[in-house]
Amino acid sequence: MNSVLTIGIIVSVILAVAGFVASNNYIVAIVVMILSTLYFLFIGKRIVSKYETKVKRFNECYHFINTFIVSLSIKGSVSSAYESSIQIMSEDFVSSIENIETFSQQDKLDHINKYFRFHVFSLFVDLINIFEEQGGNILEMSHYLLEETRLIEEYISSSKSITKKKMVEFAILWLLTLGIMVFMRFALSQFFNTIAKQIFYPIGILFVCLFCLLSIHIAICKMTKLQIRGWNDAEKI
Amino acid sequence: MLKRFDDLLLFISANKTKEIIKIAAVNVLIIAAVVFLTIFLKQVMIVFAGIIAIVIANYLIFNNYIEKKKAILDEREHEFIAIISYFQFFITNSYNVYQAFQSLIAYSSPWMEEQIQSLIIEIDNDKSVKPFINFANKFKNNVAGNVMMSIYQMVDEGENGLHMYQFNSLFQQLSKSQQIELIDYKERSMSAISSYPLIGAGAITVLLTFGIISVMGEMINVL
Repeated sequence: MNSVLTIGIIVSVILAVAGFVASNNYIVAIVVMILSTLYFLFIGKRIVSKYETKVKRFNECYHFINTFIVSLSIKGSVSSAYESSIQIMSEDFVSSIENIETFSQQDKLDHINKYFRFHVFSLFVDLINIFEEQGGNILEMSHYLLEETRLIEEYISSSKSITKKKMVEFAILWLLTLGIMVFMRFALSQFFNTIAKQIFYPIGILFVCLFCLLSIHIAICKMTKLQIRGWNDAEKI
Repeated sequence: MLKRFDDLLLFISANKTKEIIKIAAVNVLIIAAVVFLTIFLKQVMIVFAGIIAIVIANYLIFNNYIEKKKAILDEREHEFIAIISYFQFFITNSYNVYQAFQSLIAYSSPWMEEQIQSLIIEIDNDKSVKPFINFANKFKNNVAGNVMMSIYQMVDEGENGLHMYQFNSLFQQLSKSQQIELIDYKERSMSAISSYPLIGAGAITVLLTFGIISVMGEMINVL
């Protein structure tokens, strides 16, 4: 099963159990369970999957550009460099270029540009066009492009490690908060019996659980936000 | 205050009337929901929740405009690095600075195209460093100024190896500073999520306090 769904189910169960224990109300638990499961099933999974695709694509783009430029500097031919570059690519990439065998070199790169969509790849395509038109030393010409691509790759890996650390902190803090909410019921059992009968209390607990779900959504959005020029998260992959 | 709001909307190319209607609609909807729930459930707490909801909703709406403005400014900074990359392609291929800037227009956004056109016109009329400084002032990164100064030196003293080396190191500094800024932003953005569990704990405390007050109120009524 998808790891996002597994985590989603665990979170939904924890939230529903905490909501039920804290409010002694089945409706709170059912509403929380349904909403959180639906969230992870239809929204959370999609956001994380888009993020994973973006990271994977950039990784491929990075390798493609590097291999292409190194091959071009050795072989001196754009078509040979293209052939060398596609050999190291993933199945997804290979299937996306299945029907472009008859295209010209320029059209092939333009087609691949639609697959990667990153600005650095457009820069790379323009560089190859300028190189084909005017010649020059490809290693010197691509110096900035390679530097820029390497910096983006570093940014992605730094973002991943920051995200991992902060998400662990976030999960621990929410577990402590939900723990306090549950603990109150047992610590103030006499008092709990009185306030649990009032309408505001279960509604309040429901809001706390829904706020937790909302904060998970915000955390997922922030976690998956990577500012890589050219890639639009709203676009269909 | 209103002038700043107008300027902000103008900068992000938003329609003022549409935005005001949107803000008013959100506020009216929240107020209507609060009035309805207060009459229906007869709980004073809903009024407090309503006030908090109005504050949060308005904060989110105004923050959205600021975020949009920041995104436009960031995009311009990114584009500056991109056009400097193109500039390097042309300079490496023996173009002079003036020709390189002219060739950049084909690879620029409409905003950047406008800035490069005005830079070219200024260079035609003024051979000093001023046009380069004016161009650099359109970007918030200080290194942009150094990069443009380095380009001016190429115009003034010729595209020799020393100036190319200086230009290369400045460009690397510019790219690196932008990458550090992006990583810092990610760190700050992710740190902000730690406040949500604390808000949740605060909400539980408020809920319990309200419960205690209502129980005490009932006891006083009984006495």
